[in-house]
Amino acid sequence: MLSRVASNIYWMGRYLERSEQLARYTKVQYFSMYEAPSLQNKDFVLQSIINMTGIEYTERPNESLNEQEIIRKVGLDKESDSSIFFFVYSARENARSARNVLSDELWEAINTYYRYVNEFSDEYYVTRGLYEFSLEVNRHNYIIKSCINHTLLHEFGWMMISLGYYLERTIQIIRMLSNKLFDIALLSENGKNVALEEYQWTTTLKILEAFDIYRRYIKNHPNAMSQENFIIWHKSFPRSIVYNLGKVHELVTRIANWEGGHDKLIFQTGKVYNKVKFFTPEEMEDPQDFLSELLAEVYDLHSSISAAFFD
Amino acid sequence: MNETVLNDYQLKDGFIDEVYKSPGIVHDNYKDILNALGSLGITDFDKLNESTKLAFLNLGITYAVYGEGNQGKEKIFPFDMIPRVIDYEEWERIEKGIIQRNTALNAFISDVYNEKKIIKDKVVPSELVYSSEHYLKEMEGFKPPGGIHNHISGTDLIRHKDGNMYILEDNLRNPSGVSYVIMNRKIMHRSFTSIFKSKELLPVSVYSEELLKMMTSVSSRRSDAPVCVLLTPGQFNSAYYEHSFLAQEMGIDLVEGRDLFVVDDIVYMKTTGGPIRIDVIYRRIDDLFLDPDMYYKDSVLGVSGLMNSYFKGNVTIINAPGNGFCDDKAVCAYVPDIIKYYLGEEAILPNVPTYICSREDDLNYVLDHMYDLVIKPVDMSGGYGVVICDSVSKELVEQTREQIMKNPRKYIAQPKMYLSTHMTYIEDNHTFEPRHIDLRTYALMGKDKTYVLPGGLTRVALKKDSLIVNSSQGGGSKDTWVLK
Repeated sequence: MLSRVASNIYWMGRYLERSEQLARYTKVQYFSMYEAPSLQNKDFVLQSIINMTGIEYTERPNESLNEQEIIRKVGLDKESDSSIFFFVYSARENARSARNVLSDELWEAINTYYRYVNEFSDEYYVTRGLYEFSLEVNRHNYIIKSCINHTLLHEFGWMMISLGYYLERTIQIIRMLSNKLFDIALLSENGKNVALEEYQWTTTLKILEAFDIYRRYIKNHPNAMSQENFIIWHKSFPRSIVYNLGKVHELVTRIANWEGGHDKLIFQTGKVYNKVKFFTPEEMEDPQDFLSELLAEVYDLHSSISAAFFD
Repeated sequence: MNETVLNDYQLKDGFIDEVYKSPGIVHDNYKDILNALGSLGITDFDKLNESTKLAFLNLGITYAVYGEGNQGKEKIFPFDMIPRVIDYEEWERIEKGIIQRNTALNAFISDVYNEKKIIKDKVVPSELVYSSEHYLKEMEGFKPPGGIHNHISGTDLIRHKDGNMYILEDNLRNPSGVSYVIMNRKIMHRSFTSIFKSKELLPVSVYSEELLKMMTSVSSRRSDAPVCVLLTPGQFNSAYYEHSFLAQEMGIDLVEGRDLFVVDDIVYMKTTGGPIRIDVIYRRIDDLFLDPDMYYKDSVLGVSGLMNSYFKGNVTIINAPGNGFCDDKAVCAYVPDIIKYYLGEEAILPNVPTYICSREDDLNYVLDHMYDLVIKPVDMSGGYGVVICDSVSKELVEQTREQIMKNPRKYIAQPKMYLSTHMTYIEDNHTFEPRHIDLRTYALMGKDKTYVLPGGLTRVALKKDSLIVNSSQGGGSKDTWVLK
């Protein structure tokens, strides 16, 4: 495969995943405003969205945050490179450059996704459309992932796309968890508030589409892990950090079999994966330190992937 | 849709209509089609029309108009649901004519870059060739693999008011539009099944297979499976859809200049498994962008060292560089003579009649019939200096007459052509109206055979009374049927 095309479909996977994660984060966060126990004010929620999505927003002194402006910047801002529109646009442009390695079905699914986002009315989105939009973004991503898994040979191209989205998912989970821990710390500044903390974890699990799963899990496990540990260490939860690092390692191992030898990369992904896998909650002193160190290592994995396959 | 909607169809005086022989009398080939149309209500037809447009959008058969930021507005090339039909007998003649013409043009290009016999014999004036900005000196003395220069030719035809097909122009550089021919048919099959009832058509979907066969046949390296690629300027090019479509259909890599490099006069592409040697490049970039070492120094679309590799015979470039002088309008006038010179045959498909003012008989005719003619300078480009005598001031006509008399060799003249009309759905009015059409045919010249895509691209001028079918000027296209 052309190196450029391999790089493009890897990025296609990353952008698709990013669009999905950020849409869900924004939706769950936003609507949590309306269900939350008092104390949790609107600015707090909006600030959390700004932190997570990395949009550029200039606060005006003595004014509350502008809800509609923030929502628009996260979703449909066509000039920004951190909006969901931009991620979908980029995923589709990457797909467009690689059509001869994608299936017709996959291409059409991605193209339809792009058209949906591109044609979504700005005004409707910021006033009433956020829920519908986020739901559809989720749905399009499920269709696309189904096409990725069911209409491609599970060979090099498929692995590149999958590697892109598992790596991106790992990154976004780490960032999301870190962001939520930060929120919780902020809320506890004036003393611990159990109800509020609990509510933050509910939000967090919902962002990962794991609220139900986790509820069932603790019911059946007397010594269940905390939400935080569940998200980091549960080995069969598909949105845990360790699960996704495992996938990254597995894919890299398989790719090497196809394209002949990237031992350094295999070693590196194995190292990061096993470090998390064999680390225990008791050894973790400061979760934020742990997460930020891990994030740096995952970014390094990206550099190594680029060096191994695209340069 | 009832009978009356179709009966409202008003023929245009002085033009041939492809669907109706005369008011109320339909050509046999179109009877079934009009019946199928007649069985739908106008609302159903509108719905069908909309869902067809949506199919083009969802499949991404679009061209982008890029503005600021990422706000790429995408458009579909307008598609008209009423197919254009060509009967087999007429098609056979067109096909023969296209093969004859392109065979002669290939011999002409090869001769001009090598022996130059036709110039020495004064059949084609030398200044016509050498003054062309598309003439490439570097090609002199070079014979490409298989001796083929115009591997892919796009020949434009029109039907004049006398009922005959005429050649309007040749496109021997990078003719585009073929992907629409294939997709138009595919989408028609999907959405308007009932119209195909009892019709047997020559297939168009084999084009990409024929294209790959042709490419393989002219590989410079003897190998069972030469490595072929399609070189695109990139996804911001307006024809990118077509590049990616053809590459995908052929199952070959769609490369950009930055994917290729040359070492020891051999071209390679960068892949995840290491460099792979390339044998045949179907390039969709212009000659002067091919190699920054030889032409435009700052071209980022091309590949440094590509031309040397080509001249060493290590890679085949399709179409060969330097064809451009030959699809010049002025040269077009000489094609019947070119055919006679190389093949000893009369041209099967006539040119739009062209009067070459350097010939005395022609000159006298032109001077006597100025007001029926369109006058063009032979070295014109971009339509500059064209005088349509019946629509400009008397003064300008007389001025032009003086110019011609002073320097007859600089001018040619052609009668105004009357492009035939075809029934076309006009969305805004919800009516069927006649619109002017032409036909672009596609021919592939391989080592041992020439393939002509049955039918081709019917382009239709959607603006009322417009004779300009180009998509940039509001033109659309139709599925084109050749009946078995």
